[in-house]
Amino acid sequence: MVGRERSIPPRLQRSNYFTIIEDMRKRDYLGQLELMVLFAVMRVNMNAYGVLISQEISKQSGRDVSIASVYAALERLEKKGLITSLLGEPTAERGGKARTYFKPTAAGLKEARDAHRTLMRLSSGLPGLKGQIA
Amino acid sequence: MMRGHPPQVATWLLRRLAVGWHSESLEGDLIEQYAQGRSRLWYWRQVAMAIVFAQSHAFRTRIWIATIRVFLHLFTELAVVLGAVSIIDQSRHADDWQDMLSPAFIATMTVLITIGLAGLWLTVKLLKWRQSYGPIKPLIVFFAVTALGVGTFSWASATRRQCSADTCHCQSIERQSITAERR
Repeated sequence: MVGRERSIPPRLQRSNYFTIIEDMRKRDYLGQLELMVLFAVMRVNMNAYGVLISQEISKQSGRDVSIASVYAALERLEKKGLITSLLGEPTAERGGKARTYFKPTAAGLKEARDAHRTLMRLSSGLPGLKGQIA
Repeated sequence: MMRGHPPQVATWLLRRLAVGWHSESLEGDLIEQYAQGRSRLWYWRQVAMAIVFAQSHAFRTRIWIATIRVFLHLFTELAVVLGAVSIIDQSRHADDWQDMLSPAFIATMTVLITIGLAGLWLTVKLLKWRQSYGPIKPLIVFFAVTALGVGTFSWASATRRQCSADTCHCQSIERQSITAERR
């Protein structure tokens, strides 16, 4: 085995375990719909509620999404602490039901920025994507 | 364009079967969209999706919690019943307090009390996931308590019968020995 370099793996130290556990926690990535909903909440900005969020997603993606799936994604985002909700006043046109307004938290904005940056880096320069993005 | 009420049956199903996180807001959103010109088919499809999402979410969260809670109840009640039975049994066989507090008895009681307290603590902790299971939970608890009670009583009566049989046997041996001495 002369002239052939052997790569020696770095020794795992106790402090590495905490880093690994932290990384494992961070790997709780958002799904596609969750990301779309988070971006839609940011786009609508104030007064983001179920109907406006689903309309925004339909407008931007060209796909019709059910309001129930939007609410399911909103629930997951709120559990992760990426958005907050606020109950509005009930109105007659909604059968006496109140709207729930959503807005992103600081952690949600950071997550959206990180996801956007990562996706841009991953997709930049890919030959299969050239000329397809409007 | 404002329209009349959305399909009543669909709304009724939505209220009954799609109970969950912000379900009232979801219902309001659907009514609002329908009033703005969405079709009845669209409304039914949205309701169906909402029911599927709510039920699948409830099933995922409920089944494990329900199972854990039932087992915790059973463990706690079993520990309490066994503890009571152990105390009764020990008091019947022991002559005084010092005899009663044997190391084996203390160890048994310690284990049972620990299991009972741990079960109680975990049950209280799980109370934050309070959900309605209908009459299933009280029925299971009632069945468990009845089964344990019947088991305890039958065990106690069997022990008593055995003791009385032993006593009879001893008495007959004593009687025989007295008769032999007289002869």
